[in-house]
Amino acid sequence: MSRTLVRFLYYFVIAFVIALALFPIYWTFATAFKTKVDALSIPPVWIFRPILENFTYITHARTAFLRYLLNSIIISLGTTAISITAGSIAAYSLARYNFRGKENIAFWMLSTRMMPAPAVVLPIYILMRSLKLIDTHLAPILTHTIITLPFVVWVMRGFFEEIPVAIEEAALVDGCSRWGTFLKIVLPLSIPGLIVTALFCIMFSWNEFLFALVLTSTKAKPATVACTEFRGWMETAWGPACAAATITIIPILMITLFLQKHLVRGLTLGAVKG
Amino acid sequence: MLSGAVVILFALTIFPLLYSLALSFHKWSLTKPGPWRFVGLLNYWDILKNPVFWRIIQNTFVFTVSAVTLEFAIGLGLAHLFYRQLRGESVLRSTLVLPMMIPPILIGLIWLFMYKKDFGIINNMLKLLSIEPITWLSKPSTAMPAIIIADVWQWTPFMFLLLLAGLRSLPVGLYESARIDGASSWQIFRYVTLPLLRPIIAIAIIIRFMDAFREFDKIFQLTGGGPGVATETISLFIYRNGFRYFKMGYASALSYLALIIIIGFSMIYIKALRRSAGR
Repeated sequence: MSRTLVRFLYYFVIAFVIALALFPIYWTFATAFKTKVDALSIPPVWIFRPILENFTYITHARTAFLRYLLNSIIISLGTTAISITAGSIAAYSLARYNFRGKENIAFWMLSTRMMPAPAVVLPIYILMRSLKLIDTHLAPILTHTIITLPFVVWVMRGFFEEIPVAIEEAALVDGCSRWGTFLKIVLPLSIPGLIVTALFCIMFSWNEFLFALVLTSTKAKPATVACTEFRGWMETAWGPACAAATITIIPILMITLFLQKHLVRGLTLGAVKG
Repeated sequence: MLSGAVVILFALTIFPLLYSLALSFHKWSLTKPGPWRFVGLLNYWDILKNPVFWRIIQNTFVFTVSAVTLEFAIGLGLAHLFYRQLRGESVLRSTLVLPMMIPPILIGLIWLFMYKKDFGIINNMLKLLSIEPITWLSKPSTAMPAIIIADVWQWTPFMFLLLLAGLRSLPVGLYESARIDGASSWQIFRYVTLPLLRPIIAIAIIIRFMDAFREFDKIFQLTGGGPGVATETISLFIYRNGFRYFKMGYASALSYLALIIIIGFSMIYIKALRRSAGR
């Protein structure tokens, strides 16, 4: 008797926790399909007739949300391209070469990632303003690499170090240059690691808000910033706001599915290999 | 080969930091064109003698310490709950980690919607327990708990994932021998699990501590620091002075004070990391 009770409690607690984790996301998605009356009804409605007007409203009628979404795509892909290129080269030299001050450089790079964004956002804003880069895609792209580049260096270094040195030595003996070895042997072997790292970069850049808020205004504004702009005079337009949030969240949820096994490693910059 | 990454990071971090260090000794407004006016340490002095600043430091620590403590405690409990492999675990785990993948600013938006006094789902749920509606975000006494709850919702999965990975990496044999020696569950947890988990616990807590300390997005969206300055943290204070009042010198000095605190934490983190990585 008591064993079944414990079992029941055990599964009940797990179900409860899962429900807590999921409910706010479900509620946002549901509100995106509700009419204004349903969205604001007291008590809240659980069963309703879903409508698509909120989505057409944000994509066509009032705001060009799809353009902000495109901005998000451009910014996150640009950030990722720069970080992966510069970062994996740096990671490789940290993984394979020994030189003085190597660990210090590695840890300096790591420390830049911990910098509080508000502390650097001011000077970066002034810098970008004097370079006439405000409200271009390049401004958030460059700035997001502060977050993603150290990440790539640290995580890719771990992946490179897992490749047996013997393979590279064989290539070097056969007359391949260091660069050739890196491009033809090491990179193809680390494609799974590169994909995981790139997906993390896309996510970090996609989710970032403060830099994007400060550095863009109309032309280069990404989706995260646009989502906050449904606040009206009296009350936020909750249906459209939730529709915008839904569109912004879904790509990230899809990326999450691919990252499952690598979350621990990625989120601790390789410190914990889950 | 390192140079590319070094140059990029140098240009994007060291240069702005030096620039704002210089700026922090000057008075300069972004809206009034004109040269920088040297004022020495005046900006720093103004900040340190401003009672609002100390209130904001206090808020920042209250938020950070409560959020991280709750996340750790709940995360550790969940990790124990999931320790024995469940059927369909990967699906359950994928669902559980979703909150931390969502853009923090949208988490702010979602919780703002749920915290609304009249039509918000939280008050309507509480009504079922016959609890009077609460104006969550406009009362100082509930605004801070409200943003802490949103942070706990988002980041408990992080603690859970790390601690679960840590728990599973411990040798099972140790538990068995402890049990044979007659140790109680609590004793096993206290004298076997905790000491062995120490390195991972340290990394998890420091990462979360640093992230919570500089949290901006959720608070910006939920309360904007209000009511009054009840939930204003250091990040919001810098933003307000820099981009609302355009007091560039003052905001730069603030950034530097925040940076000094963060550097303190990151040095502890890097030490822990070096030890665990053997570097």
